Amino acid sequence: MDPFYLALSLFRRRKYDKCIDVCTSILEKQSLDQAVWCLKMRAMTQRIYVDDIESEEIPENDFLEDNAVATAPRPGTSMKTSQPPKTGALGSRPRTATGRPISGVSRPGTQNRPGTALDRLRTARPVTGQSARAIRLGTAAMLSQKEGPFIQVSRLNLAKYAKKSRTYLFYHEGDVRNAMELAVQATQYCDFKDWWWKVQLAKCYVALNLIREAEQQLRSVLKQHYHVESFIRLTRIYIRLDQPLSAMEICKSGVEVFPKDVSIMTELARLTEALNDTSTSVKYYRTIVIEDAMNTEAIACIGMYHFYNHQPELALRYYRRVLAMGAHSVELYNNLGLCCLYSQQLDLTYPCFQRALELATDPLVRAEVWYNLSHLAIAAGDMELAIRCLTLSISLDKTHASAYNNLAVLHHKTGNANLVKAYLTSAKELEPDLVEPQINLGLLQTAE
Amino acid sequence: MFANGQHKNYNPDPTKNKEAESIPEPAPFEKFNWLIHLQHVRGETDACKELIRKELDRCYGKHEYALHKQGIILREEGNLQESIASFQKCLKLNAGNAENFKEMGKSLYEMRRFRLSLEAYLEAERVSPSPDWKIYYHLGECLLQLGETERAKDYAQKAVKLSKHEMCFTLLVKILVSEGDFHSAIAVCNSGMEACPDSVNMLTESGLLFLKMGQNQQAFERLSSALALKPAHVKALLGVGCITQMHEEHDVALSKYKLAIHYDPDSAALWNNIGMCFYSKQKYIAAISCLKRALWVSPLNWKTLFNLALAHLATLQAASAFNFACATVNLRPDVADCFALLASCLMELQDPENAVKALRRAMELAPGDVVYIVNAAVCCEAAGFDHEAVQMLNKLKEFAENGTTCTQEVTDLADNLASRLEQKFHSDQQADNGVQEASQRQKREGDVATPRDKDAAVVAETERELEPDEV
Repeated sequence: MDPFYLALSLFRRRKYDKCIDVCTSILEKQSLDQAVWCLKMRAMTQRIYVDDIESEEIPENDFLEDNAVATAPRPGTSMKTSQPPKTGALGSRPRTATGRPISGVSRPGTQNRPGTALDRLRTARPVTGQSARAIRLGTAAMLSQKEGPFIQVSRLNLAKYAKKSRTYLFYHEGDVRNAMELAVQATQYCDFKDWWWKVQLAKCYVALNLIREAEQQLRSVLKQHYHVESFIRLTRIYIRLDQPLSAMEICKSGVEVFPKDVSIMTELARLTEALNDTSTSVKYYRTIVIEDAMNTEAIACIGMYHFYNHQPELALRYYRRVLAMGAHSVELYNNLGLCCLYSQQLDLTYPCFQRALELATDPLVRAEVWYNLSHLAIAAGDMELAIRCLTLSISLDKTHASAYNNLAVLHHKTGNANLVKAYLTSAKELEPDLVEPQINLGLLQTAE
Repeated sequence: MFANGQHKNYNPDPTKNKEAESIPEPAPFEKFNWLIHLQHVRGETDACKELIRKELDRCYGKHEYALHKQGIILREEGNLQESIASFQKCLKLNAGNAENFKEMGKSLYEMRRFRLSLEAYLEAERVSPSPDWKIYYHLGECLLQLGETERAKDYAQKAVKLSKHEMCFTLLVKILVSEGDFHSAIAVCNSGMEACPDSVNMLTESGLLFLKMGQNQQAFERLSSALALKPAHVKALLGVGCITQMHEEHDVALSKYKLAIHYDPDSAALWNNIGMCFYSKQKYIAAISCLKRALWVSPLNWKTLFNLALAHLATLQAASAFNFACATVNLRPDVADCFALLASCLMELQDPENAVKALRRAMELAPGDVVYIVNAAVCCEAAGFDHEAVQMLNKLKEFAENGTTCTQEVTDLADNLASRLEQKFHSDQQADNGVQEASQRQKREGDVATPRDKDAAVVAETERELEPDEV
């Protein structure tokens, strides 16, 4: 068989490693074969290609971030000052430590919690906004090569090569600067008419934290050609600039062009959720589920909406659907357990939490599970057990402010007064924005 | 002071030396006192501070009024320590001014240094030329914080005698209620209302006191007049709703609660009472969802748990009811009703032996309750302890002879059971129409455990549900 044909076939069957081997052996014999060279490059790119549209991490509360347009935005026009929910303890969801409503799925940026060890490690992270994953991918690729880099990038005359090599650069070498140079050349070569190059250029700009330039590129892309990716990237840029309303506008125009497109709708739903408009968000998620019945994010978010809307039975149905789809994680079992608890199915509650504890390896997650187990104990009126659960939770996660608060309340109820104040003050120190410890401290002082 | 001093070569003849020289009158310290006060009460704090600074410079820091005002402004800004320092300077200048001691006491009170604050006010009382109700009021407050209720009461009474201010009455009522002396508290409330007839808080407070004493009519009047003054007063709405609910006008009560919940959606007491309204209207599903909301807000509220168990019993979900009953028993092992409810659940779950145990415990806690006795008799019979059942019935007879009032239902049930037992002993055979009997028993038990309405909305600690919802 012709080795090149074999290589192509391997590439199609997504056996990139073998394809690369075959290509290398061909290139050893005839080192100037452009087709093989190109194929090898693509295979190497594909091998480590990730859909980086989801991996972009938006740094929250970054003091070096000066991209936000307004420093004191009006209420409702920014993520930070979005309208607070109307009702208090009943209608609202718990919030993350940074004040955003907790969400149904884990996405980049939803899980940050200041003060944890994880965060302290991250302080040395580059602020360029290029995801850490991209960097790691780059280094991994370099390591895996035995005989040095495949292409000596610096020696190339960039103007000569076309788009394939650009992806190679961006993903494989992790060398954004050269990739951008190439993209600039290519755009000029195509007389500023090729939208693909402009998107790539915008990507490079975003990686280099040049947000405004990226916005310009994407705007001109949208004038030339409608593509889902460009809509989403532009939305992301506006979210980074803390302009959720413009982001929403872009999404809505995107939905007009591509009606019922799942990824744009997801973007819309996430945006409305971040702006505390849960009912609209759930409406979007419902349309997503009609389009794509296997969309885990949408199902989980709807489930959570029902849970905090005091309909645990409905939430249970959604989470069971997720379980039936093959998801198998701590959080899912934990949520199932909570739904069972609040819908009076105690016989299922314990097994669910047991599974969750078995699966949990991360101490932070284990802490959350124990925290929820304390609620199970409270529902049974067993204060001793509840106190033990909360103590376990704290021993796993020293920064769990809610656990400290609840522990204080339980000690107060059992008459162990001398510990109460200490727990409440530590809760307040850990999360100064949390309302409950403050109210409780006030109550304690007036009762003294 | 050197003004108006006599000249050395004093000439009594005024015409001769008229234009000789005029000794300028030195500007008095008090020159700008009016302006300082005006700027302070207008809220022009910055200008006021500037003026005080200038005045203090002019008078070499010996200006008492300026220092006094500076202390007040500093306290308003939250700099308690500095304000106390300022008042101390005042006291060095003039140790006989009660006002300075009073302000210092206030600052110390805000710093929660009650003992020191008390001393400052005692000093003020000593210095003060005439009795001052404010001093007495604050002394009362300090002593209350320090836990010396008896002395606090004396001072509060003095304050009430001297003035007709609402806050004095409120303090006295608070002290009396903490002592459990509701009669005098109501008397104080009444005189307080004469002094300030349009005080919503006083009206509500007295209404709730009447409610606690069981004088529903007066309570209703007071609360209604409070609502006439302020239609959205949540506490008063809760009280009025509670009274109407007791009179079984559930729709009226519901309308009141609905209004109140609009203003205070986080009140566990309101949700609990709404739930019990629905329960009495036999809308059990609505009742359960409202009660669950109450439970969500305060998970350790045994009354809500109790009511939830009742609601679940009414919907024939005995297992869930049992869970809630267990939780109430865990939270309040000193309340007989909880055990009675647990026994009902156990009977529904066909476990008469344990039901008997629960009822025995209930009878230990409340020995004189005929309902528990008759229920225990029924349970014993169902569990097969026939002799104990007979004992129970005899006990019941004793109570009835001693004058304990039994409802018609109780006596009917007792008679029924007695005849059944007799029949049983006669024919020695098991009667198997026990199912019907059991259902009747349950109904009555439901009546005994009447909905508990809380009459004071005390939202204690709210807890937060937090969970990692990541899939």
